[in-house]
Amino acid sequence: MTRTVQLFVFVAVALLALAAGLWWRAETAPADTTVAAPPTPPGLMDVAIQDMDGRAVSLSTWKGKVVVLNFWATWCAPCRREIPDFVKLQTELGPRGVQFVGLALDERGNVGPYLKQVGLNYPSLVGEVDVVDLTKALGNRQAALPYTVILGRDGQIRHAILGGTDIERLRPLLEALL
Amino acid sequence: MTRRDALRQFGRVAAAVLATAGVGAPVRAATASDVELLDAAAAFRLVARLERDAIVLRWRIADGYYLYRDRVRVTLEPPTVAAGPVRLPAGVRKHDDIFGDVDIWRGEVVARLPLAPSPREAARKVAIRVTSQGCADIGVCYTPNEARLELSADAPEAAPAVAPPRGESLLDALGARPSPRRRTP
Repeated sequence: MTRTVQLFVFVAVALLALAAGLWWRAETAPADTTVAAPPTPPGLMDVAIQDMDGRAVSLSTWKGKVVVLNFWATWCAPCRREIPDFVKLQTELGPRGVQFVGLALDERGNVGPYLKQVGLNYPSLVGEVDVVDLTKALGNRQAALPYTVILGRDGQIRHAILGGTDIERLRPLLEALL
Repeated sequence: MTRRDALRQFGRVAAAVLATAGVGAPVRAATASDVELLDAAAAFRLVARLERDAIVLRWRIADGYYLYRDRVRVTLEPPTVAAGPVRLPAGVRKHDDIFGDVDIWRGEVVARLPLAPSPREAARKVAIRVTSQGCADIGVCYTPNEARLELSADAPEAAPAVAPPRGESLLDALGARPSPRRRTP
């Protein structure tokens, strides 16, 4: 085999490996789905959704914090994929004023065991009709999941993310609001 | 071919491969902001047809969307007229890192629910409830959908009715939907 042919083979294999790697990265990375922040409904912080014990909890509980409202469900694979990153970010940025709040569009009987399994370290509210209404009111017209809305300390919507996200994409958005 | 010509030719091929792989552009999948997300009813179009010995359900699933086969449920009212369980076609195996191997449907899918013979076929009237759940390839999933379809000998084909708006709800409280009760003349 001449040196030219050897060089061809080597570079061809390297290029194929590079192309395969790029394809795999594009296929598996969460979609970069930050969408235009919708207007903030005037009564948003007064909305109350039931917690896992059936008590109504108002979003005003977290007034003054950077609040991350994450709409999710146990039947939604992309939702479950991103939650471990939210747990890490709550630990990392919680002391500085970030508060994640899960809003499960699901039944309590499904949510409870899952929360224990992932060791959720932030509150999870749960409901069906009310949670669908809330996500629609916050710009998610089809009530598709996951959907994540970030509120500034002033309670105004700063970012909305349709589809999965991860720690690398969320951290700078949150840091900028602290 | 001289070595220089060969290398030049190889360079062209390499550039084409790299361009195809998207080198030089940020790596990102298709996103929800790139693609207008369809309503569930448009993404998963369902039509049911009453035939002599079965109800035929036909889904037309839009490109880029899929339904989970194992999350489809079909129940008949009254249940006594069913002649057996619904026959769902096989799906395509998809590996999911959360749910493991799942069967999904894409494109056009036809299922049959066998019916017991009716002595008064011309007056036959049944209803079915169909539950399904699907996702879009861009990485979002739709809430489980339940549709009720009424079928009769006179109107043998039906699509799910669009749900009427509910009464006073959280949407109204947030001012996200104009409430007829609050309108002033």
